[in-house]
Amino acid sequence: MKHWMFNCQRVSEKISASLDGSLPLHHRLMIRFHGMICPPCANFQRQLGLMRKACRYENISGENEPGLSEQARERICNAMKNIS
Amino acid sequence: MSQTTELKPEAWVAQYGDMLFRFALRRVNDTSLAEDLVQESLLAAMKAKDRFQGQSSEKTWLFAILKHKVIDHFRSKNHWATGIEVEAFAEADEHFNDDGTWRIQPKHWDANPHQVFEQKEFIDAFYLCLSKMPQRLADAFVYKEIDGMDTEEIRKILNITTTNCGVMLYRARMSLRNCIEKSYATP
Repeated sequence: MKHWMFNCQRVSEKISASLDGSLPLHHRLMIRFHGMICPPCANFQRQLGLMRKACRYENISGENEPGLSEQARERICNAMKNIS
Repeated sequence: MSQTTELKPEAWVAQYGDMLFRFALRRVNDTSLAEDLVQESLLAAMKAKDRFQGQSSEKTWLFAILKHKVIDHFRSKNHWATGIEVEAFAEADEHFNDDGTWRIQPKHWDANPHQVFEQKEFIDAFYLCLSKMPQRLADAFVYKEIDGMDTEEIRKILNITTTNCGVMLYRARMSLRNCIEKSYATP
């Protein structure tokens, strides 16, 4: 059986594991090496990175976009007072 | 992050109201619905404030609650214009041939990682797919990536082993990327 480094399915599992905690350095290097010779796996790794960014993003650059209306602001503040 | 982060609910609307609203509005494209989601999120945060452990900032914590509300909103909608099919969430094994090569090779997504949130098509596809995922898989993914929990916490909540937790997160990621790829227009 060939080494996991040459098997896309096993590499994809390792890429996922690398997002969940400490993957040994040599495993991370093997993933990187595999990505250099395998564009689909490199794409997969990039996709997981984009999904993580999508989850964590919260700074909306939209100072010119409308914010909460005064009415909504007041309504929300009142609702919060009612349960505090 | 500091363990002593203190919550200041009385300042939430003034401090984060606009940011939360803009985030919600971009997802749902409906002003009154976005306002409702912000209100629901802040009320939920008030009720849960004793459970805030200070591992993240107040802002990140409030955003995480809002993201849950957005996903719940999409999940509760019955009508889907996107035609995302259940097959998008096939078992991870089904994405590979017997020799471990990709059955359908992942494509290059055009989204720029530094401006990911500015790319509405991508984020729309992301939230839509997340809300259509099988619930347990979506939960594992959301706990990890939105709530920032570690594997041990997720394992306890879902009552599974550490190994199974890794497997679930893998399946969740495979499913989600597959669904996004099917619904997100790539050049």
